[in-house]
Amino acid sequence: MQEPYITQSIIEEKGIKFLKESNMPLELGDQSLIRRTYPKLNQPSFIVDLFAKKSKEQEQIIFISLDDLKKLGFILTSKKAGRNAWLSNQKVIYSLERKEERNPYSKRLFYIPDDHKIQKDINNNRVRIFGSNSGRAGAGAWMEIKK
Amino acid sequence: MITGNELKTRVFGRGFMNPNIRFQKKLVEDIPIMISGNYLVCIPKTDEVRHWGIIGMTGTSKSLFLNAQTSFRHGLQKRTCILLNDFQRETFDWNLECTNEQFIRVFSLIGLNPCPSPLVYIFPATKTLIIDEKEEKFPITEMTIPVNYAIKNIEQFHNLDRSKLYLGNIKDELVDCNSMQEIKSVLEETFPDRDESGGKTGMRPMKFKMLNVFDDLFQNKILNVSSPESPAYLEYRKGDEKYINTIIQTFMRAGLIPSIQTSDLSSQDFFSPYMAFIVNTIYENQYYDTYFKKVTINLIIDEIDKLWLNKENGKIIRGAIGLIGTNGRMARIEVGWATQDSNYEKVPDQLKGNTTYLVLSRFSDSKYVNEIRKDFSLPKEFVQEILNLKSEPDKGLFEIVFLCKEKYVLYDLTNGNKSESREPRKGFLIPPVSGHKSPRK
Repeated sequence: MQEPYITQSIIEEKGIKFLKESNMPLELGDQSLIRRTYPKLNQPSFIVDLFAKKSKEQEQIIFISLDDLKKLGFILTSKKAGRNAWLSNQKVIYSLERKEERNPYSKRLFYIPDDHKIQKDINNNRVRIFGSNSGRAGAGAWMEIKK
Repeated sequence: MITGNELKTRVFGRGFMNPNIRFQKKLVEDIPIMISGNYLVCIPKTDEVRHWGIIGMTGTSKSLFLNAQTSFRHGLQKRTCILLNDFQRETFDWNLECTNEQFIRVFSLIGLNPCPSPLVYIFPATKTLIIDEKEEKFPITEMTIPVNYAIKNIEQFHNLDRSKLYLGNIKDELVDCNSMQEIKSVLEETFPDRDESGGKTGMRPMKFKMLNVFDDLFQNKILNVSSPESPAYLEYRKGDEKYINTIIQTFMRAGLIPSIQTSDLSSQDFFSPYMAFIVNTIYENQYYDTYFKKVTINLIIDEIDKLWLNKENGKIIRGAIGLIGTNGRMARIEVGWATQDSNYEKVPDQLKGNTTYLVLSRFSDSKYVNEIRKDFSLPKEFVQEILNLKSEPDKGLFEIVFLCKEKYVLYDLTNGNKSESREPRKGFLIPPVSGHKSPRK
C-alpha cells in the first residue's frame, strides 16, 4: 500500500501553508472565506396607526369537546323551547352557561347533541354552541372566556 | 376623556393628523415565527436553551422554516449556528438574499429586508466526493478527521469482532501515530510473526486483520494524514488574536455558519461515526474551549432521522444527538430539528421530550398527528386542521400550527400591544429573508 505523503506542489497549488508537521493546524492561504462581509439583518418592526378604528379580529375557529368546555368554565344546557321556538316541532333550545351563573330552569347536558358542535374562536377568546337548536341563525351567542 | 388629537380625527379625519403623532414604530424584540390573524407570533428571545422542531409532509415548508430560523437566530439572537445535515445540497441558495417577490411581500409586513446568511459549505473528504463547478463559486472547503480521533474510536468506524480485545491494549500507542508506517511498526512489535526462540506465534492473521482495518480507513481519504489537501484544523486570525481548532469550530468562531454537505457522506458506512465526531467535538468544546465556554450554539438538523439510517452503526450518532437533547441546556447547545410526519417516532425520546416549541406543517395521516397530541396536549379537534393546512407558494403563504410547552409572545399588529399565550395557534409562516431553492417537482 502506498504511504500518503505531502508534496510541495500541493502546497503551492492550494496556497496551503503548514505551520507545523502533518496532523497539526493549517492556515488556508486564501483568506477570502473569512474576509467576505455580509450585511446585518435588521430588527423586525411594524407601524401602528394609533388612531385607527378598532376592528374585530379575524376569527380562527376550532371545535372543542365538553371536557375542554368545562375547563374554560362553561357548561352545556338545554331548556324547553315553548313559545320561543323558531323551528317547527322544536322541543328544546341548547345554550352555554357559565358555571357560576346557572339558570335554575335549564337542564345540564353531559353530551353534545347530534348535529351540534361547540366552537372556540382562538383569536377573540370566546366560545359558542353551533347547530340548528342553538340560535335562530344556526348558532348561539358568543361568550367571552374570562381569564 | 377624549384628547385633542382624537377630536381632530373625528372631525377632520385621520389624514389631517401629524404623521409623527398618528403613527408609531414598534420594534419586535423576539424571534418571529408566523402571522396569525392580527398577531405576530414569536418565540421569546432569551439566553435560555429551548429545543424546537418542525414536522410535516415532504414539500410543506420545513426547509423554509429552518432557513428563516437560521437567519433569525444568527442575525437577531446573535447565536452561533451550524447546519448539520445538508442532505440535498439545498442550502447554497441561503448564501444569497431573497429575491422571491411574494416572500418579500410577507416578511416586509414586519419590516424585514432581504438578507443573505453567511454560510460556508463543508464537504467531508472521501474517495468518492465530487464537487460541482457551480458550487465552487461559493465559500467551500473540504474537511477531514484528525487521525488520532479515528484511532481512538476505531471500533465506531470499523467492525472489529474479537480484534477489539487486542486493540484495546495497544490503543494508547496507536493514538500517537501519524502515518500508516508508524501504525505498522506498532503492530509488528505487538504481534510479531515469530517469538524469541524463532517459533511461529500464530499472531500473523490478527496483525493483518488489524492492518486491513487501518488501511481501509486510510484508503477512504477521510483522515487528515491520508488527504493532506483537506485540512482537519484551521487557524483564524483577527488582528493579533489567533484561534486554532477543528474546521467547524474555527468557522463558527469567525462568525460564519458551517453547512455540512452530507449527500456523498450519507452513502458511506462511516456516516454515523463521522457525524458523531462533529457533534461530540461541538459538545466537548462547549466545556473546554476558552471561546466556546461562553457561547450558545444552535445546532440545526434537517432530516434528522436520516442521520441514523444505517442499521449497524446508526445508534452512534443517535446516541450523540440524544445526549444533546438531555444535556443541551447545560452545554448551551440548542437543537432545531426537522423531520417528516411519518418519522416523528424515530426522533430520540431525549430530544422529543425536551423540545419546547413544535411547528407542524401539513400531515398526511391523522395517526401521525395523534402521536404528537400526547406530547403536546393538542386538542383532538386540531387534528383535522393539521390535515388540511394549505401551502400556496405562488402567494408566499404557508400555513402552520404552532405548539409549545411554555409561553410564547404575541405582538398585536393593530395596536402594538404585547401579550403571552400557551394555546396552539394556526397561522402563516414568516418566509426566510435569504434565498431559497424551490423543491424539485
